[in-house]
Amino acid sequence: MHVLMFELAGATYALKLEAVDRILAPGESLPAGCDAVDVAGLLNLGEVPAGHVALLAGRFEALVIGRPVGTAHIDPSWILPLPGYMFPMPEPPVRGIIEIPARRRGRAGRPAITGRSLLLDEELLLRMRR
Amino acid sequence: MEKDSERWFMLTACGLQVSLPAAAVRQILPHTGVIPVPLARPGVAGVVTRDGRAIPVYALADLLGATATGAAVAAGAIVVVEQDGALVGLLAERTEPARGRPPDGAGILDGVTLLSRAGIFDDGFGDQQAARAAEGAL
Repeated sequence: MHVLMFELAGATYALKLEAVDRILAPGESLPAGCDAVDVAGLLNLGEVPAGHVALLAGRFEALVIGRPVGTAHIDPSWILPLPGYMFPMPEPPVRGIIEIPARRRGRAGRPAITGRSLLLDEELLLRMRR
Repeated sequence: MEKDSERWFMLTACGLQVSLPAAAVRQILPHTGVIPVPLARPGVAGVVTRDGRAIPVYALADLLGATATGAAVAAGAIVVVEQDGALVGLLAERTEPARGRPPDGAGILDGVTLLSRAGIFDDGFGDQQAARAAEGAL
């Protein structure tokens, strides 16, 4: 599976790449009728500078995601699910933590796939906003 | 011959001491590599990954209600506790093995009590277990 990784409030997050249609630079106009949701606000990360916007595929909705750092191909087995009991809500938008096995780290020489990141669920993020 | 029930770990957080039965302790890890997780319950410091599992780490001081007093929490070790297959890391300032009877004044907590405070048994099971455990423990 391919993921888009981005930095937000000092941490690295990821979204399924197939969920993203394209990325807009900060300040770039949204398509008419498209609604942008601030991920930092939804995750209670506090105030962050204006970030890039990920237009979601097949929707008139977008996520303000911070700074994209690249894409990576990951094996689903690298996604470690987070126990539901650590969240106060039944459907937290954090799917799990992506941990690249040590033997695969840095192969592409890009920081995007050398560390650990939290995989977000775009559908649950949007549902939180509604 | 010494029984497992006579072996303990003494955990210290914000000046409070808690004894955990050694049988409940799976690992003691250095306080490194904790990844913060947004929207987690209060008291969750983050997660650590070990052996292909993500283990939530709770600040022991929070579970004991100590941080409500405003006491500073120092970094220490992460004590991984297992209860009914669920793993939880407890962030303590100091961790020491102990044998025999725990010292007077050290609260004795079992895994169910601690994990209930961590919100794991919100279906009610934990509350009942914790109440029973607390009758004989704390």
